[in-house]
Formats: sequence, C-alpha cells, structure tokens
Amino acid sequence: MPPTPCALCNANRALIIRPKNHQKLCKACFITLFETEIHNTITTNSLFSSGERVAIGASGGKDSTVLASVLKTLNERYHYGLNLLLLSIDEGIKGYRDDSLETVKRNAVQYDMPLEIVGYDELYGWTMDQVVSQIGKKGNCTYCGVFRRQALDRGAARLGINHVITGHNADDIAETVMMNLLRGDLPRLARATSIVTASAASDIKRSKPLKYAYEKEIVLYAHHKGLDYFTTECIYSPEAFRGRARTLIKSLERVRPSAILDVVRSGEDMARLVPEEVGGGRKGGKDVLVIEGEAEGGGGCGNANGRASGGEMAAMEEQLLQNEGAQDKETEVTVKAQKHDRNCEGSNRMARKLPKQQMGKCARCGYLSSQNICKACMLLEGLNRNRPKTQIQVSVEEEDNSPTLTRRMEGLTVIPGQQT
Amino acid sequence: MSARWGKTDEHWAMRTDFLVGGSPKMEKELFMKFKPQWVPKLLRDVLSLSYVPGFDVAAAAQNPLLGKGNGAKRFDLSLTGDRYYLKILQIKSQPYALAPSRKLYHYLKSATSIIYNNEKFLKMPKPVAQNGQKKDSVSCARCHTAETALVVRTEHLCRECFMRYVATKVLKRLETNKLRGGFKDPQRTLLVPISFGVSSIALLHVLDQQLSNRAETGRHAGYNLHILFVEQSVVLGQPSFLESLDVLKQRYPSHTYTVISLEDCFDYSIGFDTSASADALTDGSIALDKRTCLKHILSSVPSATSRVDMIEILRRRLILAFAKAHACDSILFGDSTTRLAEKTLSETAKGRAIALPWLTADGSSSDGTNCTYPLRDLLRKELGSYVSMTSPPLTPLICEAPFQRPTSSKDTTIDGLMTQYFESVEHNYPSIVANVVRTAGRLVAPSTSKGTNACALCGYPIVNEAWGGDQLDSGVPQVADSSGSEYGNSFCYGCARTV
Repeated sequence: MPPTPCALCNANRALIIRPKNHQKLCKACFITLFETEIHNTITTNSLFSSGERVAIGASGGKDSTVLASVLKTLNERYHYGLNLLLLSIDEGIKGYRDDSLETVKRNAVQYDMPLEIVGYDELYGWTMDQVVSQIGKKGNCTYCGVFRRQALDRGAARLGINHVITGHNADDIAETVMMNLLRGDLPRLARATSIVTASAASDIKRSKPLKYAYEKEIVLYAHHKGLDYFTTECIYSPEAFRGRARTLIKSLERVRPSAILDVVRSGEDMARLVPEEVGGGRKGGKDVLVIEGEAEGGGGCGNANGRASGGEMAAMEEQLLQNEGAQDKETEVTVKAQKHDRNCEGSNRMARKLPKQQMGKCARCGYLSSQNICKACMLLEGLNRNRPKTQIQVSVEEEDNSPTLTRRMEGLTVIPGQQT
Repeated sequence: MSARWGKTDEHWAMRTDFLVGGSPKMEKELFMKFKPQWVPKLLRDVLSLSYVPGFDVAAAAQNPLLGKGNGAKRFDLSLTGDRYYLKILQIKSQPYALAPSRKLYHYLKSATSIIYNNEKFLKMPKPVAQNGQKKDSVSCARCHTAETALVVRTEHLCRECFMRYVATKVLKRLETNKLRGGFKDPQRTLLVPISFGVSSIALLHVLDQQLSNRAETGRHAGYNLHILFVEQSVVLGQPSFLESLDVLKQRYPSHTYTVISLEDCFDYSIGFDTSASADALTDGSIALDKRTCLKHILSSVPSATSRVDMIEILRRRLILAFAKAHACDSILFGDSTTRLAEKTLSETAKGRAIALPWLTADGSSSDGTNCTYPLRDLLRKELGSYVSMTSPPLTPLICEAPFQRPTSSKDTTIDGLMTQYFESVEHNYPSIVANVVRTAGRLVAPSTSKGTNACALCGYPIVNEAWGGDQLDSGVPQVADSSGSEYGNSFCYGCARTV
C-alpha cells in the first residue's frame, strides 16, 4: 500500500492524524496549520496590540510551553511587535513545582524571554506544602486557586504588565463548561468561556489564545517541535468535578472528535443565554459571585485525571439536599414574612447579592476586592490564626526586607469580637 | 455570662427553630456536636443575643463576644423542661433570609460542643430516642404509620405516600403551567406522546388516575388526553409496538389514540435539504416511497450519533407538527429529571446548547407550541419504582429495549454515553441530576427577530454568530454561519455537525 500523502500539501507522507477532525497530515503541514489556527484566534479576537508587553503564565507544563513557543514563532512571523515575558507562580509544592520551575528556567533561555517567578511564600508567607500540612489535602485547591489568581496579578503588576496569557486549551474550557453545568454554577457558565477576561476584579487582562486548540494537538505539537516540557501532575490536585468532567469529555471526544469544540461552542452560546441579572456580574468582577469555599473554576490546576475520590460531589450532593430541605422548611415562614418572592431560590440569592457589587480595595493588602477584606486575606487570616505564634514570627524575620502581606496581616490582627 | 447559662455539667439539648417544622432528620443533625474552632464564630454569629429572657440586654451589648453591630438580630431563648429552645426571629433585618439561616444551619451542624474560655455552655447529647426509633421500625416519614417501602432522596416513604408523592409532583407541574383545568376553564386537549418507556407510561397512568378520580366524584374533567405514538420500528428495524398499544388501549380506554409513523414527517412538510436527500431526488427516485427515502437519509449520515440525533429531531418535530395540526393546547412530554439532564449535557456536547431553553423548558417552543415536562421533578429510578408499585403494576405495558452497551466505539452515541453517565450519577448523587436540570431551566431563550432563519433540520431559529472556533482555512467548511448559504436554507451549528 502506498503511503498516504498529506491532505494539504499532497507531497509529503502523512504522519499525523489530526485529533480534531482526523485529517491526515505531514509533520510540516500540521505544525503550520496549528500555528495558523492560533494566529487566526489571535487576529479574529484582536487579542494583542502592537508594542504590548505580554506575560505568559508559564508553569513548565505542555500548554504553557507550547503557548510560549507558538507565540514566539508567530510574533516573529507576523510581526505582532509583542514584548513577551514569562511569569511563573511558585506555589511551593515540593516534588512538583520545584521541578517544573527548572523547566521554565530552561525555557526562558531557549526562547530568550525574561522570567519572573512569584512565590506564595514571599507573597503570603505560606507555601502550599505548609497550607496542606495545616488544613489537610481536602479543600486546599481553594487556597491555591485564590492565591494564584492574586499572585499572577501581582506578578504582572510587578513587571508593569497588564496582560497575562494563559495556556488553557479547548479541553480545559470544555471541562469547565460541563463542570459548571453539573455544579449549577450559572455565573461561571456565563464567563468561563470568554477568551478575554478583563474584569473589575483585576487591572490585569487575561486571555487564552489556546482556547480552541485540542489538548492532543498541543501534545503533538510539543512532541514534533521537540519542546522541553514537564509532565507531572500536581500532587494535591484531586478535584472531583473536574475529574468527572474530564472523563466525560474524553469519552465524548472518542465518539465524535469535534465534540470538544462543540462543547466550547455550546458554552459560548449558553453564556449568552444566562440571564442578565446573573451573568451581568461577569464583567463586574470575578470575585463577586464566587460561591463561598469554592475552588477557582478556571482550570488553574486541571490535572486531576479522574482519580478523584468523589468527596467533592458527595459534599455537593449533601449541600443540595440540605438546601432542598431548608427551602421546604422555610417556605412557610417567608410567606408569613411577605418579604420576597421566591420563585427560584438561586436567582433570589443572586438578586439580593447584586446591588452590593462595588469593587473597592481590600483593607489589608490593597488588592481589588468586592468585599472589605479580599478573599486571599480572609483565607490567610484563617491560616494564620491557627499557626503557632512562633512560626509566624520566624517567617516575618526571615523576610524582613520586603513588606510582605504576612507582616501587614500581623499588624492588623483583629480582636474576634469586633468582626461582623 | 457563664453563670447565666449555668448547669454546665448537664447535657443540654438545643433545638433551633429557625427551620420551622424541621424533619426528624434535620433535628438529628442539629444535635450533633460542635467542632471547637466554630465556637467563637458560633457565639458571635448565632448566639450574639440581644434578647434572652432574664438576660440583661445592655450588659450583653457591652460584651465583646456578643457583637454590637448585630442589633438587628433577635433571638428567643427559653427553657422548657431541661432543654433550651433557641428561636431565631430575625437575622440582619431579613426574617428567615435563606442564606444566613443556611449558614447558621451549617454552623450548628458542624458543632461538637460549645466550650469557650474553659466554660462549657452547651453540650449536645446524642438523640438516643430518635435514633433508636429509626432503627427499630422504619416508618414512613410522612404518615408515620405505614412501613417504609422505599427511600426517596433520603426520605423513607411507604407505598401510599410514595404514590401520592409522584402524582403530586406531576399535578403540581400541570398546575404551574395552568394546564390542570379548573372548573371555569374550557376543556383542553393535551397531547401525550408515548414511547412505552417507564416515564411516559407513568405519566399516562397519573393523568388517567386524576381524570377517573374526577369523573368518580362527578367533577369537571378539565382536560382530554390525546395519546400519540410515533411508530418508528420499520425505519429502525425494531419489533413493532402495535400489540402493546392495544393492551394500553384496553387499560386506559377513555382517551383518543393515534399512531403516526416517523416517515410521515414528510407529510407535515418537515423536509430538509441534505446532500443525501438531494441525491435521492436527482437519482430519479422521486417515486420512492417516503419510508425508503427516510431510510436513505438516515443511512447517509456520518455516524451513529448523527443517526440517533436525527431521529430524535424528526420525532420531536413530527410531534410538534401533529399537535399544531390537531389544535392541541399543550404537549406533555414524559421526560424525567434524569432524561432532561441527559438531554442538557448531550445537546451541549453536540454544540446545540443554544436550543436548550426550547428543548428542556416548560412553556412555548420557538414556534409557539406549548410544551410541558410534567415529570421534570421525578428521577428515572423513582418512576421505575412507581410503575412496579401501581396495582396492577404497569410493568407489562412497558416495552423498553434494555440499554445495551455498544460493543464497538463506532456504535457509541453521545446520547448513549450521557445515559450511561447519568445512570451512575443518579445512583449516587440524585440532587446533582436535579441541579443540572434546574440550571438549564434558568437559561433564557435567545430573542429571535422575525428575520431569523429556521434551521433546516431541527427547525429552531439559527442564532449563529461567527465564532472563533471556526478556523478559516481548516476544519468545518460546511458550517454555514450566514443565512444565505449555498444550501438555500442552512443548518444551525449543531445540525451542521450532524449532517
């Protein structure tokens, strides 16, 4: 049997079956096609302006490495005139982040980009390892997610940059769509799919140029370009909903390769169907409608490979049951009170919350926040309260030169009774 | 303060009245002990009292623990027997506001004991009596007399109460959609499409029961049922259901029955230009009967998913067209919660999320036909129990091909995948299934102007906008974003994937 020729150039031998549509391509054509598609995404959404300084959120993983590589190529090929930098977050997870940061450092050299590393340790006085030893493996993703969001912003601010791009791929977005459907998280459904998230909650614009790129194609690209990337999952990652959604997306992809893109498309469509009073907050602020105690759904650590325990789902199940119960029980009372109509408890809750959405600055750290105290400081307060006193002092002394958040936290310790 | 609370060595039980009429289960949970780290918060947020009998309010206000800023909170603490009753009257000026009271509930739930400043305020004993009762004889949570037949979302129900539970859920739905038919309302005709699945048979049974109850008591019937069966066995190569239909007619004789075939969709001018049908026409095979034509179209679609999808769309459009032609006031679809959740995720996976409000919500469809899903509050497994518990059981009426796991991935369909997926979710997390449906229900149908073209296949308005996922020089050239495409009439995004 003669070798199949590439469907595009018809000259070389086809070596790659494109995961997205099973097109048979040669290596060169695939790489060009992949890059062109990202270029199309960038141009149709006009993500960049000439001369802009852009930070690439780099973790050393395949997505961000490919993002850096592709952007460097495109920047040169199409003369975007971008000034690219790498920005890494050091969560302080031994055996995971320290190794991947080495990759990022090598990438910085390979792509000739300046690298900035922002550590949780220096920002918050806590590494994730310490957080986990304090609160356990359950629920630590909440901390990590909240901290990361701020850390990226702070890192960008330190560099004087107001545009950060991240390596979220189509699979991540599709997972998020499914996950938000399963969780019933309408506000997130409204904003998770948008390619650019500029919000009042942050001065920093975020965008996802790889939004329409399949994870498999990213891996193929990295492989065929011989990119240097790091493949280990976060050791703390199990997030049940994402794990479940991921398995689902992967089986959908098997049945119909276009499904991932279709889900992304559906997600964008649904974002438009979310009623204004819920979705209206999407530009109003990222923090605003985040349900308490919930991990950032943007896919910050989308590494859980369906190996999650399911505890998260069970917890949600329980919560939903209680809500149902509470709703049943409360109806009688509210009728008496004649206060608010309750056609739908969810929208009611949202509606009540909305008028309060005004972005201000956190009283402690100065970070933009819809509340008096920002989410990260709230979490820190909880952490610091239970930390042995001596340990705090040690950490303060260590970082004596930089006015860190920890220190400011120290100065602001609040007497329990004064809080609302 | 501690002196006021006194009796620290005794075991106090605290009952919170903020959930009025708490079920035994709820109370049981409230008796759980407080975790120590919740205590300061609990004292602050829950017990920051401004009114307690015999409690000096002014003094309490001075107490830093009790928080000055919470003046709007009103509590009532009373001592009855050896128990304190805490009644929360008002929280932050919102009487029984949902979120705060839920929060309170969670505090209380996670509590192990109240120990603060080495003082023991309250200590929760285990609710021995209640626990014991539950273990010994599991009686129905509603009537408290009959024996439990099954557990419905953690509630133990006896057979009678369960039957009532199902019927109420259905009739409540009809009522909210103003279809129940009051005395003054004109007699309506409701179209009930049946598939001989668990859900549609259960729906028919509930409705028939209500009608016969009304007839027995000599009341106004309110509505007529028109039962519609879409025959698709020939096209799909399945055994025919017509015998079952006769059995059904015998059991529920008082309704109108109609059988139409899937290929009748051509009679209702549900046509569409696929390349396949175009082929069929150019072949000079116009003379082919519609059955062959339909078979031809179905065999020409690229995958099993597409085939299932297309049949589903055709059946739905046929039912809608039939309802319109026969002036039915509303169509009662038998989709259970589980089915609606499946539909939500599978339409999402097929890129047709834009049509979700038309496909899953009660109310008018895009073409003005009223669709209702009376079983939307009932899980498939609940309906499964229901049909086996009626007397005589409905099970012989049900002819459902057992779901077969496809042997090759080629035969797997997106819909099948979702059925499988929700089977497991429903088993372990029924509330999550309901949550998906609720979430989808809150999506608002896109506004369609008059100029909007209808999709040639699914018939819903095409609300397509160009989107970034269509890469200019690759991928999916057949997706027609603009309405004036070469097909003459174009497909919506999801249907373009199907054909």
